[in-house]
Amino acid sequence: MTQLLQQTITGALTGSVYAVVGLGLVVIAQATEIINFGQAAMGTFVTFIAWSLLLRLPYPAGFLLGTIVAFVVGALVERLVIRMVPEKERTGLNPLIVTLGLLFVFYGLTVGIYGGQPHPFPQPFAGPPIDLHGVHIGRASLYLFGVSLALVLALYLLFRHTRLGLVLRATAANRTAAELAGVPTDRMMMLAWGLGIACAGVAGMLLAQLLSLTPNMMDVVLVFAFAAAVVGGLDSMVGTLVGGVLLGVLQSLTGVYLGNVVRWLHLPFNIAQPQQYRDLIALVVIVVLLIVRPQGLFGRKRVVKL
Amino acid sequence: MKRAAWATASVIPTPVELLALIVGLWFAVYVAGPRAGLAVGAVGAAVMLASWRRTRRGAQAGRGVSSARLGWAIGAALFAVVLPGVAKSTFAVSLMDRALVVSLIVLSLNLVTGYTGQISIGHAALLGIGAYAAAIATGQGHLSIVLAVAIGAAATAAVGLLIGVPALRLRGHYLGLVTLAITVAFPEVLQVHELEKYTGSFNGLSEFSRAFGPPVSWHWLTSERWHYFVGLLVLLVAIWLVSNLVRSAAGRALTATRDDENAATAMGVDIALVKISAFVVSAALAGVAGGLWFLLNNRSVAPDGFTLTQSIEFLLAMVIGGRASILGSILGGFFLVYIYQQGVQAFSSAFQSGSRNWADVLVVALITVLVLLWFSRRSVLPRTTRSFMARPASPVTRAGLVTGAVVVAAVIAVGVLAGLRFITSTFLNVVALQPAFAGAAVLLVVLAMPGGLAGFTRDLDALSWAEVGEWLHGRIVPGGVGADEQTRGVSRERERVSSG
Repeated sequence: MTQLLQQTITGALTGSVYAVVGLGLVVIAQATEIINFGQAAMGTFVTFIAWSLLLRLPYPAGFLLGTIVAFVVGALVERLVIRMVPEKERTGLNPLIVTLGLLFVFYGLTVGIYGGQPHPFPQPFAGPPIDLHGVHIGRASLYLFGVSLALVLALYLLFRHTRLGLVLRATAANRTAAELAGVPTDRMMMLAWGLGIACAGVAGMLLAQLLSLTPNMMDVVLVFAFAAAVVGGLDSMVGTLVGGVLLGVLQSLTGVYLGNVVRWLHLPFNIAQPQQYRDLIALVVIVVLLIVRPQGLFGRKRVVKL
Repeated sequence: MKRAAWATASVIPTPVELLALIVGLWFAVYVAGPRAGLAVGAVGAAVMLASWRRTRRGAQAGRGVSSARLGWAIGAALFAVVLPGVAKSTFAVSLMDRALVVSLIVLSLNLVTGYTGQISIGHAALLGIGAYAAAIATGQGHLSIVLAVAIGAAATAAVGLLIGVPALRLRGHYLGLVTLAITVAFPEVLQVHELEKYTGSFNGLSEFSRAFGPPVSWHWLTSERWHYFVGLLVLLVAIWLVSNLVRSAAGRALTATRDDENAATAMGVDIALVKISAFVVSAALAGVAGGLWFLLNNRSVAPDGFTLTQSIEFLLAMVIGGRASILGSILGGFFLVYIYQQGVQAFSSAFQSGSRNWADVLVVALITVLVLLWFSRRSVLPRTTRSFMARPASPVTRAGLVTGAVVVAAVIAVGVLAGLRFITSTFLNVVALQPAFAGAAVLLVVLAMPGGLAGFTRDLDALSWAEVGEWLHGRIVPGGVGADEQTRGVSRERERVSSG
């Protein structure tokens, strides 16, 4: 029982990182209708910058500077690349191909500047795990969960309860109407990209504490983040958080109990190393979820009128 | 347009002919060294260009062009058959073979993504399934290679059917996510403990014992050349099949589905059938490419050969080569092998070495061109300068202006080069930067050349030297004569190409 609780909590804490990357995707998708496949690569790039800053700065300053750098990178990418794609070319596969191009650009920059070796990332709260009646919770995971939760809350408040959020949502809902109402939609797009990549950067910095910092640290995370966002129907902050946490729990439980489940079901094979199936089972669930409910668990079905 | 210029059959090659000539000669020299390369390349290119003109003129006059076809065949044979024969090393031959296999995989991707509009970030996984199936069938099943490749194609087609099912319900990004998930999962599946005895885990499989040598023992026909010829034959058959497919009613259903699903349905196209069959055919081609890949890599396969990076590389190669174009697939495949992999590597090691060499010259030339293009955007310069430059001027003044612009751009380029040198000597490793080049190239293509290399060739084909000269002049001298008309003309041409 303790083990089950332990695995569930560990998974939920890790899963919140997926939610943070997913939030970045949602923010960008909301404002610009583009799914940024380069999210993970850009987040990793910023994390490497933060890492080099943290060699000289104390943690809070480095973290804050890293987030600001991420925001600037996102805004610049919107201004210099995304906006250059002509309006009529933003259909079909073009946005997707552009973001895949960005993925390669940022991955190349990361490897070109920082090389391929793994680096340890500084921990703000080093120390032994906290013991709660036999359930051990790593300090890094707890910190990660706290920051993720705070970020979700902040973004939720921003989007639902501020004028800026209203304007951002207006831009997303109907760009022409927003423009006619006097919204500087171009700047809102830059803002959305900045916020989105800032999320990716924060997630990268959090994740780098758990894993070691490598250029393709976040490749798989992109898929999970995307899935978390899809659970929320690509437009719900809370749904994304729930989706990320669920995925994390699923992964964590698979890693321990898959062998037991197979034995319990009397399947004709054995699973010796369930740890290897962590990602696979999650990927299968994502594909099935997408086929069964493309609009997400929480999303409403969008009706397109012709 | 100056179509009539073809009929006059001037000895001077037109812009597109000159470009083809240069690329063909360069390629031949790269493969076979200066002496043999120049000889084969020059003869081959000359015969092909002559037949090209004959074909065009014949088509204009409505005459049969059988002699021109013969010329085409001779020229193409010189490039495709004689060139690997006189190649300077076995590596050069296997590089050509690699380009053919990559062209095949890009062609298969083009069928499903370029023609049908269904994004696939999973083609490296399909390639891998084909390769692994071939490896397992030869190694553990003790089958002949030909049969093994066929089994690989069948297995991959079955997987294509599975991927096609989500494609029925998902569009755009969502389908991208599913195929992305498959690509990410594939190498992990291969390394699962329970499958280790079939897939060999992260070491992969090596079936050196199962040789696939040439059927006759000529000294000339090395196993590399034999593999190359097999690859060539397979690619030609695939091109023939795909070109027939896309020109048939079924092919028009593919593009109709891509352009507007509702309209296609209204015209009686069964969209579900179209999407599924596009995935199945594409996957089967990818499976065959996988079998060839297995042969190409000395009959060995490993999980790190079929990763997300590869999948995206194929996709980028398709976009750079040209979407919905067979020529584009071939250009994309050769681009990926010769420019992206070999070229960028050679360039970046030369640049990284630090001494002054051809890489510097290339950088300066490239930046000069970019600066000129940037200046030609009229808003960059102050209005007085623009109006001064736009005034009618004598040829001498104009030549002076052009020279001045080029000199200024070149000076800026040298400055930028010095900056780049500083950056690379302090913190940037150009050799590792390789993926960034592909990313930047694809961004440029989407922003400035939606038709890719194939579309560019088609655009250039429609231009005569006079038009190219005017266009260049308009580019170099801001507000130069005919600058606007010309750019507009080119973009209109592009619209026609991309929409048609």
